[in-house]
Amino acid sequence: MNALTRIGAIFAKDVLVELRTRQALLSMTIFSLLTVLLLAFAFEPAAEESVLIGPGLLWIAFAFCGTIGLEHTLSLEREMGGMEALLLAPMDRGIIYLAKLAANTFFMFLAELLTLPFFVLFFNVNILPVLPDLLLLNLVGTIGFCSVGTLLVALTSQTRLKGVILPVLLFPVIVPLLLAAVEGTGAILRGEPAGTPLRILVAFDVIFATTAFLTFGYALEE
Amino acid sequence: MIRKLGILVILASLLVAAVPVGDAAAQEEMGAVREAPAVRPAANVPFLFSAFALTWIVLWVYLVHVHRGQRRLEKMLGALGEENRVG
Amino acid sequence: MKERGGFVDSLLLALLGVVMLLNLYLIFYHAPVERTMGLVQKIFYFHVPSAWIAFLAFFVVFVGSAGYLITGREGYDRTAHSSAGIGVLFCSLVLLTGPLWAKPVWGIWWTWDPRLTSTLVLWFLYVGYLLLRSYLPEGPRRATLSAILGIVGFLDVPIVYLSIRWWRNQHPSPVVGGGSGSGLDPRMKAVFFFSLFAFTLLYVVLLRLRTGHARSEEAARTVLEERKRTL
Repeated sequence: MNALTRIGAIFAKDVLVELRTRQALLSMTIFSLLTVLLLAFAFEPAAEESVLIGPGLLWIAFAFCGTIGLEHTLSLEREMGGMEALLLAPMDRGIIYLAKLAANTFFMFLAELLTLPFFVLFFNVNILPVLPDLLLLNLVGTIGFCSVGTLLVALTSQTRLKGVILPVLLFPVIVPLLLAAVEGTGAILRGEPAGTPLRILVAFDVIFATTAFLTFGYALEE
Repeated sequence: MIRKLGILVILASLLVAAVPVGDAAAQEEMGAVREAPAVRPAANVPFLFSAFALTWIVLWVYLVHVHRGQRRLEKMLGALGEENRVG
Repeated sequence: MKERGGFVDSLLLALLGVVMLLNLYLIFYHAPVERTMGLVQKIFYFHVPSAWIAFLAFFVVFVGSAGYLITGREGYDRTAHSSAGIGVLFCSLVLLTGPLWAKPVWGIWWTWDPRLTSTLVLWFLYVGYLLLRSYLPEGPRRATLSAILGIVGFLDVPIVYLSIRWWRNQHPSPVVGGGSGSGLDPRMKAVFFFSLFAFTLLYVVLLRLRTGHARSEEAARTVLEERKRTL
């Protein structure tokens, strides 16, 4: 079994487990929708303003829903005893990380996809003409978010107030990602090129995924 | 923890005190050129300096106090360790 | 060996007392008063060195964290933890003195200047580090997890700074920040570097005090355990 197969196997397991209960996915999506709704109430944007403040509000919603989802996959693993089994298997701990990263990205991206139609609805933004670019940026941004998040949730999941402290640790680290993602989304919605933000996001992804890959093993040791 | 907070409060209040002095000084006419910097110092400078110097001295005395306590603690621990080994 | 460490500490402490007093004197009596800003510009001699020391402190957190992960020696963890606390202290000073300088000079409390904004994010990063430690029970696990956070946090620092600078270029503000190193009068430069030296000395003394304290706590714990075993 080579690394890719292993990652695929763990990823498939996580997705299957989630699809059976759909707990995390449901909570994430609904929370994301609620956030968008609340923000729509708070700001009452007209169509012109939507393009200005929409990207920021959207990514705030994504960030909140992301923290919920991150928590879920890891704690489920621990509760069900799957973590011990994974740790016993003779493979690089980094592989577990990559699989978790893939799973978290998958769920968060799904939640984002489900949120986008509501965003279009409430904010009167037309995303269809720019959909491919937008989705690409979203994906790269989500990978970045989850690359840090997957590591940090491993750090916090054994503390007392794990739900509270995860955002406290995650959000400062994610600032560059948010800046680039919001700028990029805004640019795409305005029809401008988003090359630089995308490059920043890719750099962020690579740096933090690599760091997390190297240190994840230490975080899991009991 | 509380002591650190106390230090922070002292430092902060001193810096707040610098603002009205700074405002007053900034509004004065400072007609000097950058290359010849010997402007007549504002009359408040001695007070500013004394405030900062005094605060620093108080802080420093506190540091000395902590340092001395640390020495005492290390001695006691050394003695306790000896007791364990002998007894 | 403890005696020698204690002697160095006393020496540093005495030196620090004198150096800082001298520094204050130089700032208020030797450094020329700035033409446009007046006296309030002198906050610069506290604000910028504090910022450099905050970054130095967080670099030490990084080194300590990496050292702990690689070697497993507790001394690294103690150093990282101590440095983080001092770093947060100096970071707070930067964030307090910044607005105090900005308000009289530019009329607004906060300018979204890249350096100041990065320092704010830095503050949150390291408060988070301390918060994580406070939630974890003592032991190697706490050291390992906070070491990982220490590494991640420090790697984020340059990324945060660059991204905020890029972001600022997208949204330029009417106020131009900076104004710290640009075209300084040579006497100001000299006083600035002396102030930097004084603050670095302060950092070193504080670090030694805190790590010494942590070491004593550890020693006390060991002594107590030995006691329990022999009784």
